[in-house]
Amino acid sequence: MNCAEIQAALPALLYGDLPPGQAAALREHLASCPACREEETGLRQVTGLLNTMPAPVVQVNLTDIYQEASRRQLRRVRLWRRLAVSLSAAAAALLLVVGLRLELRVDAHQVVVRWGTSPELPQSDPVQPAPGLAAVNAEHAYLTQQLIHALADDVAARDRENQDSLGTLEARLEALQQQQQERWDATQRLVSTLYTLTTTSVAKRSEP
Amino acid sequence: MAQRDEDLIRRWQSGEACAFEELVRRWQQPMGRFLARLVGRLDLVPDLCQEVFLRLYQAGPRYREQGTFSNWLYRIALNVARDTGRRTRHAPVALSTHEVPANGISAEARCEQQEVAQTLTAALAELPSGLREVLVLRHYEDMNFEAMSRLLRTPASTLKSRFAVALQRLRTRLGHLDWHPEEKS
Repeated sequence: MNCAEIQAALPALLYGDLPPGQAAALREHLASCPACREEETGLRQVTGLLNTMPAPVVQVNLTDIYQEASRRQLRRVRLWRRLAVSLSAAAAALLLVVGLRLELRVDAHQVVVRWGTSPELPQSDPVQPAPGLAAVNAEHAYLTQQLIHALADDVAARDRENQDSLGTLEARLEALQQQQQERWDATQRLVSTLYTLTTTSVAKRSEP
Repeated sequence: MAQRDEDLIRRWQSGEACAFEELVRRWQQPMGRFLARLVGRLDLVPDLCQEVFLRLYQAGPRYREQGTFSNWLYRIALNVARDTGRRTRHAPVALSTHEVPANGISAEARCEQQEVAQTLTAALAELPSGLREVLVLRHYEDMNFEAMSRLLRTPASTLKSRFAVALQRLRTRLGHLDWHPEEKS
């Protein structure tokens, strides 16, 4: 191994990531090569510095976690509801267009909105309706109706799930608040006892 | 005998809220240290820690015992740190608020330690996130490259070379400090 290879392997040597044979070969090289030894010293100094970095002490607030989880859950429920309403509205509009055979046309001086079948013009040749058009429309209407039902079912199921999980969260929160109240009461009792004891001992000491 | 994390999470999944609280108690300090080193901003650590355990709480029901619980938690923490990194990329970097404990040393030595801690924090923060993650996981969390490879979904060989590059960059950046911890302590 040349010096470049040795120096590339130095981090692995410092952290004990090399197999024993390779580590021994590296150490042997280091004993006889000042340049690589200097590199190793530099890296050791860096790892020593890294060990001096102080660490904080943190305290996670469980009540905040339960409350925030509940808030986010509610936000998700609202989002899903809004999405479902929008989709239902779009599906209803589609159903209206297909069911009523709505036609919207912008001419040079007028806007034409027409629904139902087109009035037959007396002069023009009778236009034969395309075969199977009514059947296609009925099928579209049926599919849209099915889509709306499916969406409504999905929304109801999600609502039920979200209500269940909200219920669980609320119960947990309530239990936690009760625990905190009990702890607070106990602390107050303790403080009051300590106060009484202190006052008594001071009074005894001040007696002649 | 202390229960395994995986047992605690199973108990929590079956409805025991106290199991989740035990997991939080067990992991809050390691996560705080990990996030502080990864993000380099002590002022952000309490909020980040809170976010990690909130995400854990929300994702708990979906946990399946495929890897270790700690790996899963580290992945959540890494995602939280990465999100923060994206949000604060253009924000001004606050001065480190690392407080070095007095431990009976002189004011001058304490001042020097404080300066070293600040320089070190800044040097870590300057590393690209890919290098910093590997360095923190290997040096502070003592994670081997195989476990890290599963966590970061990156080949172990790539992670090894990233680690070497990170150490080399720190060496260049901190070379002027002339700091000998063994002599100071």
